[in-house]
Amino acid sequence: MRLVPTAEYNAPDIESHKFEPSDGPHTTYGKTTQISDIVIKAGGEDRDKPTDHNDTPLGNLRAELTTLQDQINIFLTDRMNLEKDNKNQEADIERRLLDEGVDEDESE
Amino acid sequence: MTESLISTLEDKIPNIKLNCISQGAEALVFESDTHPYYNDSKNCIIKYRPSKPYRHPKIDLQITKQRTIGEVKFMYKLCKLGIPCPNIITTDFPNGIIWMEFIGYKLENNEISSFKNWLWYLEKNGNDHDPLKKEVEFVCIKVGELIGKLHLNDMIHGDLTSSNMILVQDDVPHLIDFGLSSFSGLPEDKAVDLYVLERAIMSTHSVYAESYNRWLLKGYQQGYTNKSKYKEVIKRLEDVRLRGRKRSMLG
Amino acid sequence: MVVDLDKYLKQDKDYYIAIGLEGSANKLGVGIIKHSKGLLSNVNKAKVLSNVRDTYITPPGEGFLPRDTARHHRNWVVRIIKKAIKDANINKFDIDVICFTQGPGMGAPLQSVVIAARTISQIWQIPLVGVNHCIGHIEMGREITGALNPVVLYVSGGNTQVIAYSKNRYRIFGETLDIAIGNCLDRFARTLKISNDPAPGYNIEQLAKKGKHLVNLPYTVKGMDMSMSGILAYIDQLAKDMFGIQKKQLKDEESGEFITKEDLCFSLQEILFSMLVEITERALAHVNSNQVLIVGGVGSNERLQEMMKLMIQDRKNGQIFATDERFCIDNGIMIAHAGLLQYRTGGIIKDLKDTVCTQRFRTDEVYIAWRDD
Repeated sequence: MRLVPTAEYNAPDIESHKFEPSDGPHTTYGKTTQISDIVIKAGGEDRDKPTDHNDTPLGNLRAELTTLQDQINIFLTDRMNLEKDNKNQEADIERRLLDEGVDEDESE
Repeated sequence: MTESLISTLEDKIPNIKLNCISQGAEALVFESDTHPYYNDSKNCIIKYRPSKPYRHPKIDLQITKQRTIGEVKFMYKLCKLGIPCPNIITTDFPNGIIWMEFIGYKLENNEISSFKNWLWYLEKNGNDHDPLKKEVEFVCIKVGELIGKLHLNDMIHGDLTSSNMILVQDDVPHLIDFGLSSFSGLPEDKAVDLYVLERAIMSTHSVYAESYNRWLLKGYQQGYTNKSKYKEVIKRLEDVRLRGRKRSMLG
Repeated sequence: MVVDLDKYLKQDKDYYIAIGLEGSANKLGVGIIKHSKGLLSNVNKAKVLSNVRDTYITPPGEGFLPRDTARHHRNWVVRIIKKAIKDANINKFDIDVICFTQGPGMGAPLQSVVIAARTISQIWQIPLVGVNHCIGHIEMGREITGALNPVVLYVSGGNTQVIAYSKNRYRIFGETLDIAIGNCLDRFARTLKISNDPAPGYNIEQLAKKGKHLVNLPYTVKGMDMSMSGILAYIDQLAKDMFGIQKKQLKDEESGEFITKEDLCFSLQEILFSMLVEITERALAHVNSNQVLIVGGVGSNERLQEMMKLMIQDRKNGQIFATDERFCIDNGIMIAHAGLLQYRTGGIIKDLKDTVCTQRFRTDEVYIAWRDD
């Protein structure tokens, strides 16, 4: 028996996005679920690594979930960055309007 | 044990008949029929701040002195303004002793007539003493008015609870216990003063707290006759309340 | 009227077993407790079957970040649950209820633990109970010490409250107006770059034992409440002046000796604990009680316990109760115990939707159905 986790993301501004783990291989070591750099830089060590998964239906599900989690995290981080960029651009226009007296028409 | 504390006072003021009527957090309160300089007089109250063995001696000395002096100064100012509180008879700062006039009376259950005991008595004795009757509303408003007057004069009580108000005959509330008092015109300090009372009412008189607090604030508005300053305090009170509820519980 | 605690007892069973999962801050704890049927009393005490804990520790100078703490809990929770069941020597299907901390605490760590609770609940088909972390501390403290109706001083990394029971709720009489005591100590430990192992507060306590000179600090008690952020800002500045680039050394007025790191830790503890003891005594006087129970991580500090003892000795028939670090510091067993009381009075969660955790969950929000005094 293989248990396959899937996920779907919906938002008004984009088409629905589906997530599926590929064929693998999958592990429990996610790219996006590592310890923070801050801790390592401050001289800490990572003693909280996950254990390897067992070759059982639940164990394999665990590994595939880690892959799925990575996909979701990367997708959501990209979206957040995009939103941040847009906001910065807006803020920049506003700043130029207010601080530098640039006319709205000119800035466009 | 309290007895050993009492004997430390007996050493400081010998030959005075002392009857310990309450042990507060920072002071022991005694009733005595001996007046320091009149022969025929009503009973007086002796408030004694013993040294606290748990505190570092430096902290202890500082707090005892500061609070005894602060309390007397505050009462002197109240007396000048005509805001009801006990009159001071005499003081002994180094020993942390204040002599003052006795106020209040005994309730039917033999407890002293503090606002708290009076409300508790009504709350416990159900129907014929309805805790929401007109008289309670009247007293709550009176108490609120008193605090309003206090704040109008930039005086902060610092420890407003229902235990720190004594009712004398005809339900006139008097303020007591000014160890944490201070003088401040800041809306923030007044708002925290009110917030402390509001919370004390909620925890001590939980069932009827909503009505009590409403009436207290009604009285406060009546007492605080400087309308614009009153509004500033109430606005600040809302901030303080929000801060209380939203306080981060994070480690 | 006495509360019936056996309405939900399973047929053919004369006891209950609960597992508790705690992870509201940097400790991950799993504990298993057993109640025999009937009211709990000093002849029918709750039995701790296992109590396993693992702490997420950060390098000196660093606090614990929510995401790394959550990761710690996520990656350890299965191992800790397995160990707790093994230590308890029970069959997991003998468990009546799975209890988890629903708040207050840090969002991400709380969420990673509740996911574990939901998962084992569905795999094993065992009901869930959500527990208020503070209630866990109070009930475990009462059970361990036998304190019947104490004023509770709850002091930890995230909380500073003086609590007393009245009419089916634990009501908050006094509390901090800004930061929590443990937070204040931890942050000062970070300023001094003191090790976080085993805990920053513990290391401050050890340094304070060597302190001699008292540095003047503000004292900020407001009624039964207190405020600590001003004190922290003040002593932080002192420490920065002393150990920063300026190396501005400070002298004790009486002896003329230089003030040390140890003296600062000593002074901070003396002033903060004096305030804690004072507001506790204020609450005692206010509710006419003479029992004090100290719970929470900071409650294991020996100087705080000593000061509280000195205070209570001066009160008529005063009694003090405190637990050791197994129960003071966040643990799973307290969640199991309080959760089991909740289970025995019908407090199970019927819909998974209701297992959502909340960072802010006040002690007085919980209806205490198992007490009727």
